[in-house]
Amino acid sequence: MSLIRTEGLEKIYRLDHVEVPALRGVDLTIEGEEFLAIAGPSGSGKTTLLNLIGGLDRPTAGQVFLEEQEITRLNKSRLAELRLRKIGFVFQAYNLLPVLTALENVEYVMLLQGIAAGERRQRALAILGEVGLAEYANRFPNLMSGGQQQRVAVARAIVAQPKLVLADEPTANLDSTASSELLDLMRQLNRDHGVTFVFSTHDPLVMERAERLVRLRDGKVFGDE
Amino acid sequence: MDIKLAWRNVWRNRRRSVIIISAIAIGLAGVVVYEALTVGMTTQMVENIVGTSLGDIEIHHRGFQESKTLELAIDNPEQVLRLVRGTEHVSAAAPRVRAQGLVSSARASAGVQILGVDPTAEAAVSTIAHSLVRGRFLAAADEYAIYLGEALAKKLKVGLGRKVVLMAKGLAPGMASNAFRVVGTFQTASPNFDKMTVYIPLAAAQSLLSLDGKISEIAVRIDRQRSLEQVAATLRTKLAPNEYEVLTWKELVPNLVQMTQLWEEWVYLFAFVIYIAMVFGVTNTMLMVISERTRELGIMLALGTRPLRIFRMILIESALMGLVSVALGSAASFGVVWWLSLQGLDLGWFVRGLSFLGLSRIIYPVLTPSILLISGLSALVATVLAAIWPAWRAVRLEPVEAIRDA
Repeated sequence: MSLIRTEGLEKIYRLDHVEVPALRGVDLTIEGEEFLAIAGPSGSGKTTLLNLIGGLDRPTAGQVFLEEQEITRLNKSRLAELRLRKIGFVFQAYNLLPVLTALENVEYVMLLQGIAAGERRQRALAILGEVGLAEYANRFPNLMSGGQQQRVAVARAIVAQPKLVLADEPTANLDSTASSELLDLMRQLNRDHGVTFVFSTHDPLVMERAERLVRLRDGKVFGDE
Repeated sequence: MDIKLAWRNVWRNRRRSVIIISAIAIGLAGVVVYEALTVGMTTQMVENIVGTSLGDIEIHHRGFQESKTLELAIDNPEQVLRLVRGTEHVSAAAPRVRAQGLVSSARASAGVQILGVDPTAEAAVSTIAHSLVRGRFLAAADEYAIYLGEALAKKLKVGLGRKVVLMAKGLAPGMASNAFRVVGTFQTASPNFDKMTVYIPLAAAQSLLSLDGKISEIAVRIDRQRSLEQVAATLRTKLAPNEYEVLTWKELVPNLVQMTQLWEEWVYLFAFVIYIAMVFGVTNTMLMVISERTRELGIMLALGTRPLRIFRMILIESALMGLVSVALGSAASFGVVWWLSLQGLDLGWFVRGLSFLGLSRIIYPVLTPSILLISGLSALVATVLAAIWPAWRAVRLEPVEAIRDA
């Protein structure tokens, strides 16, 4: 059973009566424990594809299956529940809730899952240790570097033990050292936790580190290596 | 963590939160102080009128209130007084003779209301003995003494120890008259009352008016206002209804009741306007909050936060601002009321035209727990209600658009 399967996925944005196609029929299958990069130039549909896989947006046509369950028809509340239980997200920047400390940010998802306070704290501290930020647990995001913030975001994405982590250009705002460290970390977590990582990028460094590289151009898959 | 998150969110934009919290607190304090002053003013109005010349309850011979004729007198006052004084919640009762007459000095004369009173009993039911300006109030041993308004004394140009002649039509044929010596003058909140009222001993009044031991009314004071109707009802059952009428002050001066109601309605209107302004202020603030935090709300939704939880978080933020505002506003109003209660609020010229209502020039606010509680709760409810629309807008955000738009 594949983890993710998309069939004929299309997305058209309507801007001032002009239709802008972002995806034009994407068929893609992603297996469990993959470390996959979706690459392509700006406007190729990378973010749109991630949003559709993550249940953040609805396709104009086509379907998305997560563990063979079709998610495109789920209502808002069911989609929220699905994201909470099965998918972790890392965005480009400003991922963290600014009024919560690193520890509280990591705890937040577990709070939504209804995990007891003691266990939340224990697991959050453990994962912060794993991403090398144990001593930053009580820091607020504005007192951390971009790389550190992204690590906390990765910790938050992984702590809820999802099947899939979707990262939309996670290194876009980082320098090459921080980017490299973040990729190492994601790869490590991919191996240690068996979590599938799918990330979008147009950074050649990131593409190099991916186990599988899916190339998008003009809303279509034109390469799968 | 929800409350912690909401609390920290409140203080993210410290200046904005301080401004809106101050606005709510000042609005609330304004409502509370205004209401406390109104309650103080109406309480004083009632006390000035009821405590000076009426009584919480008055008992007359049936028909007296309408005709005011001396023929309709109570002819067994001792028996009725005993019955009244033995009633629960009655703190004092006093017999009175009430008649119209003419008072004359060597220099002038004036039409007056004559009140024949038992000085000791009257002092227990009314504040007239405390409204003394010069001399003294009537004493039990007085025979033909007179206690009159300072304004009337000035009009008659009489001083203490001088004689005036009182003329009235009593039960006997023809006009009766007698000389009375001025023992004291008084001044109440009502200049009209002062200009046309004289107090003389009960026996002297009965003698002047040939009442033969009869009285016009019994004034009753009770120990708590909330028992007013209950005491009146008890007295009505105790006293033969075809012979006596028992009237509360609300029935005796219905326009006073209407006036106090009118003032209360003004307070409600004022409070309503303030709360509406609060609602607009909070709604505007929360809309700004939602607009500024669109991306963050999008991320929260993307992480799997249920829309209802976002809705609740926005309401909690608003409620926390409301709670802080209510605490500050209550403390401020408490301080202002305390300060005003020490020195009173001088309404000066404003009261001059309303003195016939028994309005005092200096108003002392009365702050009851219920005023604080109801006003505070209303402000809190207003701030929470004001956040509903912004919270609803937050809930309707689509995560992907929220993240992209920011």
